[in-house]
Amino acid sequence: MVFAVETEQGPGLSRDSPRLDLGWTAPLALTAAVGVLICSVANAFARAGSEPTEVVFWLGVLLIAAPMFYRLSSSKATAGERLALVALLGLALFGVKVVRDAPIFTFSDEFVHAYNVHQIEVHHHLFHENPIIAVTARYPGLEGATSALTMLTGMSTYAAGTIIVAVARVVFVAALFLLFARVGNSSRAAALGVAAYTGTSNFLYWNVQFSYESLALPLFVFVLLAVAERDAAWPTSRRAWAVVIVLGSAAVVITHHITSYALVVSLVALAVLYRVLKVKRPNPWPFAAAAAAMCAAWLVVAAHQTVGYLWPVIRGAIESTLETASGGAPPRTLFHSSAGKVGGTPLPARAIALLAVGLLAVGLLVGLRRIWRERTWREPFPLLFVIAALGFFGALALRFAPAAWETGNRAGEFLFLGLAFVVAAAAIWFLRSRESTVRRRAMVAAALSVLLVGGAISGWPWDIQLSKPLAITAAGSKIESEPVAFARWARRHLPDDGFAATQADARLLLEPGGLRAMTGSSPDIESVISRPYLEDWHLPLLRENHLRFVVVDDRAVASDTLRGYFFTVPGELETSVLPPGVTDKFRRLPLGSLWDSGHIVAFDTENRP
Amino acid sequence: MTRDRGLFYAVLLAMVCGVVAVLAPWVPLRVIAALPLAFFLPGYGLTAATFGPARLDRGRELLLAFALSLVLLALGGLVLSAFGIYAGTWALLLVLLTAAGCTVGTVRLATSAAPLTRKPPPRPRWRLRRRDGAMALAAIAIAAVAVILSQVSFKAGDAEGYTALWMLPGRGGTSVEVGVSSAQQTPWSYVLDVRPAGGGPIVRSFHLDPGDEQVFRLRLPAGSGDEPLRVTASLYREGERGRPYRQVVDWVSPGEPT
Repeated sequence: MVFAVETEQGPGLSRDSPRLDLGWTAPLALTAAVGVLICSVANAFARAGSEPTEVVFWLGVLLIAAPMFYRLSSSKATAGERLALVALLGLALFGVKVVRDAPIFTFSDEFVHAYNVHQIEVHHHLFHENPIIAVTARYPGLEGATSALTMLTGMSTYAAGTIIVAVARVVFVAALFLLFARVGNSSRAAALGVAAYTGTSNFLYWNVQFSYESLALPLFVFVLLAVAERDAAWPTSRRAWAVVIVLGSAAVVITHHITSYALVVSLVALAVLYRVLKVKRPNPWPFAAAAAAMCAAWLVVAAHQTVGYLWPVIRGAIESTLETASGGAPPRTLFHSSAGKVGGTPLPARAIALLAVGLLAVGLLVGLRRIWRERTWREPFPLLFVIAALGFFGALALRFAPAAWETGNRAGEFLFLGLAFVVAAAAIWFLRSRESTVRRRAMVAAALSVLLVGGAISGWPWDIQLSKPLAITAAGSKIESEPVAFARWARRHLPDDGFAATQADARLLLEPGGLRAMTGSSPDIESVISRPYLEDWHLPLLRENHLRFVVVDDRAVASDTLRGYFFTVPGELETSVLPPGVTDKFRRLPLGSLWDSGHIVAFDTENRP
Repeated sequence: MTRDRGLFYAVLLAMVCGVVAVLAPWVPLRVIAALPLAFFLPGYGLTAATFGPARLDRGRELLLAFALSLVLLALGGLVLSAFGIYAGTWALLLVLLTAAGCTVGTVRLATSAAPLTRKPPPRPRWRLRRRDGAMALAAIAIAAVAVILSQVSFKAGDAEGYTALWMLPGRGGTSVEVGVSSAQQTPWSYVLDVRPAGGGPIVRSFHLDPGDEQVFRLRLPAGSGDEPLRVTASLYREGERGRPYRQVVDWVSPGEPT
């Protein structure tokens, strides 16, 4: 085993110890809380339009993580302390996202899933239609779980969703720690592996939004842990772990499509590796077969829309990659934001992101060397992690193809699991190669901090790392942004007869509006709204989709699912507006208008002479 | 505490939590009851049922309890969908899952080869020094302040304010409800001009502070036959009576419901 010579307490939490020593957990919880507070202060300044607050924000993030990284690199920490610290690390970094919230959902997929929860509350069953991302209603694991909390407690979807994602985050880091500890036989390396995983580009924000993957990914890692535990368990306990694997796989299958496919691929790969490496222990192929069968059954019975949802994305990624590779299309500009010049990532931030990639590459090479020398690759799990680690850099290349960026980014969060393991092997070698001095530990902590910050920079647009004003105070009163105010007004006054709206407005109509709203290009609602003239098919399209109300928003940023919800602040976000014809075409028809707030005008297609 | 007694208390706790979560009138109390019922007890029961007399270390045991609870929540919605998803059915399902798991676990403990009378190996105990406890409490307090701060809105002088004008038909097509809400950064004065086709204008001047809303219920003149009556509401900023600042239009049909 690559980490077998570690002198500390082994992979698990010892049952022989009469006391569970949590060591530095309490002081580090205090520093982490102060870090979250600093992030909250930075967001508060950002909402008030003060500049610059990014430096303060990143200092807060570092205050959360760097001391923990330093402690996790120590050989003196017990396994229990490490487990407590990685749980604290995961939770505190989730806190960074929470204090960025408004407090309403502001991430593009959150509105969609919150609407699904509303539908469960209203109809008392699953699988009710989702008008924006239809496939989400066919994977109801997250929404079903959230409905338990909203119904039992009466709390809002936002609060319930935040709690669910928080629990899922703790499960994720704890399961990852125990998985790495089991596979690598070292709690120190396991903790460093979890620390390295915080460097994946989706860790800080994307993977903790209220979205199905935020629950599915932790369950995915939990299932892998159960497979590893079953492999190492006494024969009498194997059946128990088998139950855990099957139930966990079922939960993943009904929660998120991509994660369930990743689970099948991982289990099949493990089964093949067990065979190829001639492992004497029981091959996990029955679980791979069961997961594949459940995936296929779910796809056929409940979620056949998934093919139509995912295939265009995959096809686009393939075509874009081939075009870019053959020189037929220019490569995507890294750190480019659709928000134009105000959304650009500053040079120092780009440097940190690139430095993080460089550190990962060095970690990969060093880690691979250690794994090769110590022959750890002869075990299925380490070899799977090595393959994933190599695959990560392949996925990284997809970021240069315009339409493959998202595919590469999403694949990266699975592949990074392997990379984190390999990087941890490198870190352990570095710490062990000579006496583990304070300086070496500080260097490891600094490198992990660079990974965390660099990953976050490359995974989320720079201009919206911090919150934007969604609600502000004027003359002692709280006022909300224009699209939020309209959504709340529509909820109070209008029947749920269907709304056609631009991306941001439609999402707000789903949540907090709780109303059925359609947007996007399939059907082509965006054209109906954004064109300055009316075409023959526009009104019939609205009728076909039972959309009585049309919400026209002339802000260009309204079509941006990340930035369209906030107050317009000159110099911060896109402030250009669409031509007047966009609104006037409906006035000329003429249609009755219900609401006019300057940028947003709502029309009633049934209110006409 | 012996394991079988722990399982008994878990069932008892699940039942109390289930009743409180469904029947208690206060949301905070329901939240306190629902959290262990949703996120810990079902997984704890399932762990006991599946692992029986096998001893797991505390870390894995805790993880299994939380993770399997998430698994059961995700799958539970699917099961309940066939019967109806309500607070009561959720509480019943979670209590039943906990009770079933703990019962099976207790039976497996009782029938296992290892007699229960054998002294179990020592379990690690929490060692919380007073200083650590104080720091943990301080950490929780600071985190709470951070979350509260995130919900506070501040002045943002550069943010562009707006004013919304809206109009809805009143009952029976004889009136309209017109509202003006100000989300401007400063107090503004307005003139509202509502013109029903064939009738005289109804004009109202008023002043709104930021965050204020003014709603007018205006009676319309009697319409001619079954023809919809066009009603135009125009909002002007005081002193700017040229182009309307905001405008909405409604065709009010006789007998139109609210």
